Amino acid sequence: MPREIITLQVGQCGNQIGAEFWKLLCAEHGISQRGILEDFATAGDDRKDVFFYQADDEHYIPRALLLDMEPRVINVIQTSEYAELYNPENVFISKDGGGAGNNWAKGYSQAEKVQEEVFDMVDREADGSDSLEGFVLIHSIAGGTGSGMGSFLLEAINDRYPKKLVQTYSVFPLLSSETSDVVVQPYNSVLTLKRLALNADCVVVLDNTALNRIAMDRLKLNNPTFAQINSLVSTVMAASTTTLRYPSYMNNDLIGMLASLIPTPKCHFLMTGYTPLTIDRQTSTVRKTTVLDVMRRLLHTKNIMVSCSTRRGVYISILNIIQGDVDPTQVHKSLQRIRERKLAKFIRWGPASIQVALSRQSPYLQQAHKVNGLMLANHTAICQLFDRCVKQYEKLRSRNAFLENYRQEPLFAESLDEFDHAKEVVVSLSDEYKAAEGEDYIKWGLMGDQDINLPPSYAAADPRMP
Amino acid sequence: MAGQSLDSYPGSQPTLLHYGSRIGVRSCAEQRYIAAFWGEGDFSVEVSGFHPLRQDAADPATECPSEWLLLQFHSHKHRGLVHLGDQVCFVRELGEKRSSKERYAYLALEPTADGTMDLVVERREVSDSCCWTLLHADGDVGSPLQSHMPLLIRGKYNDCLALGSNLRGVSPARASGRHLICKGRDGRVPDLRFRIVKAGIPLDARETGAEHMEYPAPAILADGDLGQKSLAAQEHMLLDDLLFCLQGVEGAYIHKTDTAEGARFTIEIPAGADASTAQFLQQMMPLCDHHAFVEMFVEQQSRHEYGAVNHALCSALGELLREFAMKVSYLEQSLQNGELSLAELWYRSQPSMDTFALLYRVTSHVQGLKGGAVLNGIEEVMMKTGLTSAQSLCEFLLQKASRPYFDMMSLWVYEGRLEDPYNEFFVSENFRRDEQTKRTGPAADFWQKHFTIDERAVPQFLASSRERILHAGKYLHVFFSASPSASLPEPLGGRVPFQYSRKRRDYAEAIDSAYRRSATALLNLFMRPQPEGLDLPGRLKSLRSFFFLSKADWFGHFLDTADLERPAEEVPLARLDGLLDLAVRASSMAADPFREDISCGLHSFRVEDACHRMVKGSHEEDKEDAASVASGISTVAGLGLAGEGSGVRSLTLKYRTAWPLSILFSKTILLKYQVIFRHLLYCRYVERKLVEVWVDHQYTKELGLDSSFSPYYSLRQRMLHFCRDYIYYATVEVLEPQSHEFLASLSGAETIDDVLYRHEQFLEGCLREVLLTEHDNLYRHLSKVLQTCLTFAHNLRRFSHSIAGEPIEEPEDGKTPAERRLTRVRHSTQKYLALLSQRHYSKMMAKWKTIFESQLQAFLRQIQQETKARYEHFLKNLATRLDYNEYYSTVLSSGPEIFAPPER
Repeated sequence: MPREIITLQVGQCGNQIGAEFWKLLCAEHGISQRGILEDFATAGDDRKDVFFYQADDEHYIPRALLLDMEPRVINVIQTSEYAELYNPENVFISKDGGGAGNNWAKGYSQAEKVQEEVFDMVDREADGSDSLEGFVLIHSIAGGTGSGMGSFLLEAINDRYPKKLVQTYSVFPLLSSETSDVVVQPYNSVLTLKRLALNADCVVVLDNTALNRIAMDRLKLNNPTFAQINSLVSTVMAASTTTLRYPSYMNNDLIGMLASLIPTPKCHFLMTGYTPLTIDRQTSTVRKTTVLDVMRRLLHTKNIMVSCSTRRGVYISILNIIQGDVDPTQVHKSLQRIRERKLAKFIRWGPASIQVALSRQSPYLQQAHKVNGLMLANHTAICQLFDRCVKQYEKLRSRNAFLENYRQEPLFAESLDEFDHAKEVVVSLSDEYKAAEGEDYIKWGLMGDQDINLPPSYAAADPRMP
Repeated sequence: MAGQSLDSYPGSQPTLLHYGSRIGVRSCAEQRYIAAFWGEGDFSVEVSGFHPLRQDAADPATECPSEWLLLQFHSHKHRGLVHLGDQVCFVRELGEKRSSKERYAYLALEPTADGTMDLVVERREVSDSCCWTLLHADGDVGSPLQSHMPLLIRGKYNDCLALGSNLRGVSPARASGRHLICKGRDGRVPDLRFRIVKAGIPLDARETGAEHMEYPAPAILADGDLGQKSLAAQEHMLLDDLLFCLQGVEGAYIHKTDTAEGARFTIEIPAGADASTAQFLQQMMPLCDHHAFVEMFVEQQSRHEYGAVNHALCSALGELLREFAMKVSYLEQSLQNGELSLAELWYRSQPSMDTFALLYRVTSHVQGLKGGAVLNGIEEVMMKTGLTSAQSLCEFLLQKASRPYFDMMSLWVYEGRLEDPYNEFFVSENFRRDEQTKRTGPAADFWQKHFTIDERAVPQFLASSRERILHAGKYLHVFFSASPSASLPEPLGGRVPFQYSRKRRDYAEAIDSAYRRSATALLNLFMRPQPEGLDLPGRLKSLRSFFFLSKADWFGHFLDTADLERPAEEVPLARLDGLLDLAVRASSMAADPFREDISCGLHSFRVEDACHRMVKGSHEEDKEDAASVASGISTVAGLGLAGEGSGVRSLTLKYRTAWPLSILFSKTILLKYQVIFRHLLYCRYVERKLVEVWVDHQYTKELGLDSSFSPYYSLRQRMLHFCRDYIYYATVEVLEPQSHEFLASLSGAETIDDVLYRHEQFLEGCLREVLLTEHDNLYRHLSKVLQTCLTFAHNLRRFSHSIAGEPIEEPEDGKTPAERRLTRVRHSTQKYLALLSQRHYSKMMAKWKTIFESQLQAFLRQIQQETKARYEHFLKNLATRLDYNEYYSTVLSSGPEIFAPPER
């Protein structure tokens, strides 16, 4: 019985990244563009059933739902060579086809309207699983559909599947508003962040700012295209699921893997690092790769795909997934070395360490590198990202700019309190991370002596509270 | 020798016996006869030296004590031929004139007061007690009895006549000092063997046999004073006598006495004999002694039970003896022709004297030995002598005698067959374990103990290669037993015809190449992939996936479905096997070719006990160790959820291997795998329970609990961190590198014993480094911490269930989903906070924290101490792992207030 994971790819960005992700997964497992298992891959000991189900002996279908408010991106997928890969019943395009117009509220309310139709699909997929582990949501937080519809789905999954894990791969927008064509993205981001904070178990942050920086600085691409960025993202996503697909000693299920990364439920925003960074199998300049090299490089700020400086703050947890041909006897030496050199700063309120998972590489892909590594880390510096979102949000909000479109939707028809509440949640999230930097994050002495009060932020934020 | 030298004497035709003839009953062991002496109105039966030579005495009964009348038991009148198997009477005639009733006295059995049988000679009615059956001592039946045949004389109660122990101290000349008893049935015991000889005539040569040389003195016996003869005549007579002796026969002047060390010839110099001649003769005596001894040796050791080496040696000695006999007969010829002088004889027999002196040394040295010991004996004599001629004679004997030995060795090292009917070869097969166990059961025992070296039987010239010889054959034996039809390439340079040589290198090299050939053959059989090989590396990898959980995805599913928290007795094995099969088939191990060999089992003993035994019993008998562990230390079952006796603490995996793989996967080896598996299973189980708590905790993410719940998060995180990091350490830092190195080292292994050794080393290393066998305290601390984690997890789950169990009371109608969500969140938040505010929860929390931290610290401290006491890098690695960010070392040691129980 596999611990199945159902992937929901929402909106333009979500579907584009999703398509790349499935492309890579197919290649790694030896599944053709039409979902047929290649002859050379029939004897593999990889696990395809976590992400795919079998229609028949050699026909594999992704456990994926393709959701969008407008047909453009999904049409591209459905006319591509991968058209036959997906289950056509798992594609949902909003009937009016107008899209969410980069409006979170529109996406949210439209999703509410079509929820029965969408959850028919979700339920069908869930029923088809033996032991569903959880859901993965791929979306962007800045646009309309991915953020609005994604937010709605997060809440609805929480309601309908309270015991299931929800992980998201959330693309954060570019920092500078000049390069962005969506002026209201701070609004969308904050509103989505609230749901990510409250309704997701784990958010893997994919920061477009950092991705662009990596593309330009590390890969020397002057004008990185979406495709190039998405290729980066899909590589990271595939790598983070390696241990589920190529089982090893540990981390063979998502829950076990995330449990050690997320010690307190609110601090569940993970950043990723990847090495070596290449696009389109470009040859790398890296010479020799040892475990220590990989682990050291993964800790470099420049390899981390979030635009927050990890020089400040502390690591709450780290999981390194190292794939390929490495000498297993070197692991402890590398750990020792990193500790001696103090290359990573950890929390002071509890034990923390670098977990290392050694995993195999796909035998079907011509690997450009003998070794590659992915770091999944929970680092307090992520609060910088939230702070920036809040800052940008407040810039707009203080001027009450661009609110008309939001007021047209039911959630904001009466008041704009949802905005304020969302902001409060993001601020308190950021505060939580900042508190985790300190030594006395865990308050042992207060137990039982505390007044039973709802935290002020929560009480104040909800107008409907008595 | 006997045949050749004695057949030439007259009167040696076999003599048939008739009933009614007068006979003597002569013991084969001694030169004595059964006799009955008359005295005090009674006969006393004894073993006497009197010959049954009728002297025409007045009273035959007294004067001829060893003469008997042989009559048929049923019909005294019968006068036919005596046959083997006949029932007869031994009768003493008291007087021909008397009536038949009084005429005879019979040799009969008579019960004594103490229940044994006595022999008497009595006048009495013919009854069963005086009936004797004549049987051939070596088993012939039916043919007519001949006077030279060794016989068993069987009495009424199936016991046979025998020479008894020494009789009193007195030994009158007439008696032997032994008395006659009726006891025993074994024809091989010399004391039971008798011959029937005709009375009244001198013994013929045939009757003397080889065991006692007795020959009627030559005619000159009657001649009186030797001194009256001329010197030449004296010389002739004495030479004649001497030549007799050189054929092992007693002469007139030279007497032969049988001693324990063999025959001894002594010359009794007659009065008036020439002193110089006598001196010559005296000097010839050793040759007679030695010759007789060698003859006796050949006679004795060429018997069947002395084995092939002795047979070969005797045949070589026989060759020498024949040469010597020819020489003697030539000398005799010369004597007859009057051409032989004493001096010439002396001169001619010089080489023979040396030869026989040496042969005497050799034979007396190896007398009673067999097999390799004989070869060693010969070689020892060779080493002691410095003479080249002697050495080459010994070498000749060795080459001959060692031929059957080398034949056996050749068969063994080239074909793995042990054909050793006389148990001479130093490799011996132990049949204690029957074929059945060999084919099915774990067979390390077989491997170690089936073929063994008998150190006493190792010939010195093979001593340095003995291990190689043993293994060469053993490997081949196993190889052919596993693939009987396989053909092997001949060794490099072909098979060597082994032959004894003083240069050991000659065969040492051949043995080496045979050894390498068989070692490679067997190793290849193991290492090659299927179908032609057994694919050992593949199996080891498969074992790693199962027992070390190196591909643990099957394990997760299995734990999900198998309800292992129940007591072990309630866990149905068949169901577990089914679930295991299901889990494995749905996992990445589905394509594993060896997964069918894995099944579930339950151990009734605790992991620590097994480990304890492993540490303690590493020097003891392994098999007993495993067996006693398996036989079970009684455990207290049902200590609650996942207690000592629960399924999760007892579950293990079983691995089925067929011969010959079972050599490598013996009970002891598998026990090590199983112990590691059980340990990992428990660790993973605890981890899993903590992860379940995490899932519950994740539910609180949208609740406004602020920091009030954080102690719970934090303690859970510490425990989870501990569990996971210990498992990381055990798997990524111990099991994976160790098995990586082990598998890599297999390519360097030259023999299967090498593989076996490395396998054991690898497992021992693993057991030690995951702390199972490292130090008692370490494992105890570790399991205490794990137990605390488990209890904590169980309690927190109960806590969460108590919250989730309560339904939401508020009406839900007419609300939007968003509103319902808000209500739910608020409700849950309040419930959590209400529960948390209860005093006992915070107390419980504080207690767990204290227990966990003190146990963890005790564990860490123990590691530290061990590391200080003796530098063990793996302990240091573990310490680094568990305290990577130095949280424990800084916080836990910073102040005592951490350990003080929290106020109130």
